[in-house]
Amino acid sequence: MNAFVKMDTGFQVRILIFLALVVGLAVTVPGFLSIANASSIIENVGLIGLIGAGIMLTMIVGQLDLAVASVAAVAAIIALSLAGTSLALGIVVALLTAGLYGASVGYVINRTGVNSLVLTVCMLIGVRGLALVMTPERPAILPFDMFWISDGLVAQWGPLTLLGVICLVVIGLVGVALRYTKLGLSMYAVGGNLDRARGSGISTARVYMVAFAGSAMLGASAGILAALRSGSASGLGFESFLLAGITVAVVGGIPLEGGRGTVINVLLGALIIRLISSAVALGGIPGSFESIAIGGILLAMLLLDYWLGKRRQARATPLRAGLQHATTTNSNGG
Amino acid sequence: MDRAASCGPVICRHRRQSLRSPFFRLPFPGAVTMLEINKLSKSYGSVHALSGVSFSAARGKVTALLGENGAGKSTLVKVLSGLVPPSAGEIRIDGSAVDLSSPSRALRSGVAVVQQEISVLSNLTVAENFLLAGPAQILRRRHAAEWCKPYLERLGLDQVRPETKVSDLTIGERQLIEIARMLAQDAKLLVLDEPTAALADHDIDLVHEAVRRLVSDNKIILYITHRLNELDEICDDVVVLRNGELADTFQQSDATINRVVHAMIGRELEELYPERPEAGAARTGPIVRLENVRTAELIQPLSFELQPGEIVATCGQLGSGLVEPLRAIFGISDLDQGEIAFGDAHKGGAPTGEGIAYCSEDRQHDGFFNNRAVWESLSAPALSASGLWGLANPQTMRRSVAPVADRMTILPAYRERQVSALSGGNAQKVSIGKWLSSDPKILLLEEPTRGVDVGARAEIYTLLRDLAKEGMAVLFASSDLDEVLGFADRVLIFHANRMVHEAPTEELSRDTLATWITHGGL
Amino acid sequence: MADSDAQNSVPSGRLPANAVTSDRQWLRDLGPFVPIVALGAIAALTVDGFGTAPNIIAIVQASAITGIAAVGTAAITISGKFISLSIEQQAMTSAFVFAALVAAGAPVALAILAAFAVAILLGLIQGYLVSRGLNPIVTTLAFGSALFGTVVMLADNRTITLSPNPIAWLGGGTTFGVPNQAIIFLILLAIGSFLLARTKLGRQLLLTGANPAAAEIVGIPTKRIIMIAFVVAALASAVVGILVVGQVSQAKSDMFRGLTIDVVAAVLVGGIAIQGGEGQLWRAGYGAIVLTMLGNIMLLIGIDAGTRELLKGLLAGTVLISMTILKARGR
Repeated sequence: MNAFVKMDTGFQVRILIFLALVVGLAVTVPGFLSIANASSIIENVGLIGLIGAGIMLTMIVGQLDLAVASVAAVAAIIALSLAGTSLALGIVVALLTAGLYGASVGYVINRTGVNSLVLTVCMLIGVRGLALVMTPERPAILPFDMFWISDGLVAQWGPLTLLGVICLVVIGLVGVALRYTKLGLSMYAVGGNLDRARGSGISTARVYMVAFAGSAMLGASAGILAALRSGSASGLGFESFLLAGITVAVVGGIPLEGGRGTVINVLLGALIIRLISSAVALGGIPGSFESIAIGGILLAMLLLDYWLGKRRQARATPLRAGLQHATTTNSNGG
Repeated sequence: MDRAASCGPVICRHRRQSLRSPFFRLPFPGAVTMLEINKLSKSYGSVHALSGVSFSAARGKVTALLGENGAGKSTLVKVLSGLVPPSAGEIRIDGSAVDLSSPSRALRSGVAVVQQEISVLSNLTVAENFLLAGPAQILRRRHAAEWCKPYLERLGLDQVRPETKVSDLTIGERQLIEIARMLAQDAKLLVLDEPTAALADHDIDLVHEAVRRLVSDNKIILYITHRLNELDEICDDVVVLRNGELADTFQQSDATINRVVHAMIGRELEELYPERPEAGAARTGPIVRLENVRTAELIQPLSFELQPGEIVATCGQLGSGLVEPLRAIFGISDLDQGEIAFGDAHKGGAPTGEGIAYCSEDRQHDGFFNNRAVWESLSAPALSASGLWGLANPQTMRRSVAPVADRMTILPAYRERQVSALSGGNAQKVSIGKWLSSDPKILLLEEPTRGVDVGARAEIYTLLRDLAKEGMAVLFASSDLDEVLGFADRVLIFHANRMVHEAPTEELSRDTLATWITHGGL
Repeated sequence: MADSDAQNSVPSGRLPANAVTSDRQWLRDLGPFVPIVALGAIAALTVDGFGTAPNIIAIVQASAITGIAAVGTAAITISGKFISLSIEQQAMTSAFVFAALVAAGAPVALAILAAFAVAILLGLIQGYLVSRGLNPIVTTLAFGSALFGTVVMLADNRTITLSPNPIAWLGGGTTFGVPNQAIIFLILLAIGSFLLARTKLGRQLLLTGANPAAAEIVGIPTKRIIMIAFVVAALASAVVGILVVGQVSQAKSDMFRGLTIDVVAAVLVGGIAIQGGEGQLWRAGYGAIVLTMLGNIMLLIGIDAGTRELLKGLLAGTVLISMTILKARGR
């Protein structure tokens, strides 16, 4: 409880939303508390958490990667196309391609100072085109003799599936790397204040390259895992990844201004989103309501953070330094 | 300790008089540990920001680096910090050339630059800022606190806990963290770029104290400053740059204000401030009156009046609330209580734009439109005053700002260029000049000459005095005591978020004014 | 920042050496049109079927839709708020409002008014949020998602078909052989350019985009101007929505798939500075024409859809990056 009080207000609100959703759904929706539903929630939280974690990396450095969905599609297609030869090879090639692509985007952003939002929109278009080029007639399909992989990924061990576990482990590793490496700390520094970070001797090129490579690779892993689960990857697929990833990050409480955010935020955001989707699915509400709910909660959280930021500003500015001065001089001077 | 030993690489704890030698004449090249800068040049296209600058700086001493804006100081700092490569020349420390090809290499070579803009990251904790500067790639967070503690204590920051977020510290403390962080990297050369420019007097003392400690640690310290009084306080040697060239070097003991100013501007300082008009000139009653006005930044209500034709300063340390009356009159700061009366009409808040002109302290941020033509900035207030609906002819707008631009001595060829192409002084002229086309009655200026070179300063003072003679009331906020005493007719003194005193300038001496703003009393 | 020192070293009141205004201004102004004319000429000579009247009409018609939406979106870009990602959804909403009212027997004029009214409302909401400081891209992305869901739910996931279609002449018709859509596009482009350059609103929009803080200080109502920019963009999407209903006689949920992307690409390829505060409106329309022309040529010489998208993205990215580099150099 003590820890809860110490958190900042935005995070408290999000925890409360999460708890309210859990309690509300447990009471009103039959079947919500089943093991099957729990495993589906965990699995999907992992999957959108993976995308969200990637987007988080770019948000921490004060940028935003809007091309994740297209990258996920290309990576999934590469992995499945090469699966006939060797799936492991396909996955490695897909991840490396994504990483290289991301690093070059990061390099260009650092080198030219181009607006990342807009540059990645261009990449979104171009990479999507690449995905279509790679699947001209029909989607890439997992070879029939490899369908055991799909089954294996979603086989339940209690509330867990292999897919969910892989995602959560990767997210955990991202969290550890952010907290316990200098590179991770540098990312927060660059997002907090680019000029200051540069002045402190941080190589911003490396930070941007790692952030965008990380975002692309995490998006790619999500794409590959999702494709393995379903057994196919189409050139038009995974389009929902972009909105999902950004929603996860923003709903989890990662500020768009950069310099803050951890994987805890990502997991919380993913949980909230997934619970809402789950409610839509279990509650017999029309599917179009899901995009209303997700768009709505994204807007609501943007507004919440905006309002909290305003309030913080209003409280922070008056007198802090001045009052300290006044009290010390008054006691001295009398 | 004998002399030979004190000149060697052995760390010694007191200053070595033997090194108070003239520059360029090293008795034993390489034997004395120091910074040598040889024929350093840097050009941007056809503009020579630095041309063939050579000087040296000794260990255990504070070498002041002076110069007007544009003299090449900031280019030199950028070269030293590894941000820009020099066009020619070399930099040696202790006889060996240093690698300044990137900020991180510069740091590794022992060159630490504390930028004018405080560069500690306020979204991180104190310890994290240290980790960031440290060499370890894998962070051992538990040890970080113990590790940075000694450096904090070294600078007198015993009370600061390493796990505090930097955003919770005062500006002065942040500046010291910045220096402490550089110490942790074992820097040989510390470049302090106007470390006190943004600080209140209390914090300035902290920084000076810290610099003295660094001197006793035998560091080479290059201290860039605009405050000439700092020469007396902490500097040993003085290097002056002018127009990208070395203008003069001398020891602090030889530094007279005249010599320094002559070296900086290349001529004797003419009368910087225009003459005040005869006191007791006819006045027509207040143009604006503040009664019991209090904003969120003030802890006590204040009252004063402005007469047409007078120039009034609000003076105080940064953050002492000195800008609040200006912002209240312009309507940026909301009034918590009291009222502001313009002429005869009483109003609760202030209208913006109606005969009131305001320039904030940060002209780059909100003084003009950097990427658009100068004439567009100059015509912006008139444009906005004319409302949103209706036609606007660019040709007419260009013509209508011509008189103002002439008056501000902004040449016609400049008016079509982007503001970003102008020098600091000219940009400030645009920032102030844009208001003149709307013929304001009250001119509110925050730190009107900060970052403006001496030549343009004199022009701006003359202009403001002329405007006042024409009946405009000028209220400016300034933490520069010389400017306040030299230019204002009347001074409102601020301390710790309240107005503590009001006096005609002739009743104030530099000392009394300094005492008022630092202690809030005499 | 890097050369501020160099600039400062120029004595105040005197002119730096390179301050002479370029007398090759006309070249820079007309430069962008050279590739479009050259491309058209080469394609007309070499690509079978490009120079035919029906194909040219098809190009103009196709670029009109993207172009109209792009001209509206450019207002957002110039105001300093980058781009909107809810263009598709706004156009779709207006299309549904219009089609539903016409299908219910309302007069065409009323249906158009209603579609515009809804667009103004949508623009106001988004403009309000963004003008308060919310990130425009994420806000419009979220708004678009919610809007899409709402419209689909209200329409009960059905397609509205108009038969007969009372505005078929508007969507598909021609005047003196020129498609009506193209005429509308050119008229709107002319109106927009005039508004931007020669009205108080337009000039204040430019200043708002150039530096919102400075604009605020001199008394420009920046928040209102940003809201107006979003309303303009929404109205342009509404025009697009109505025109396309006129063309295809129906309103369905995926009818504008890809429009947002095309519009963003058009704004970028046209070379409107994404930082805001600069830009000539015709550039948005120009970007739309270039993109459509390129797409058409590639289609005719048998390049598949994926490659076309790929090249579109690369072209937009290249223009964006080179504009950024050129800007940094110019400083």
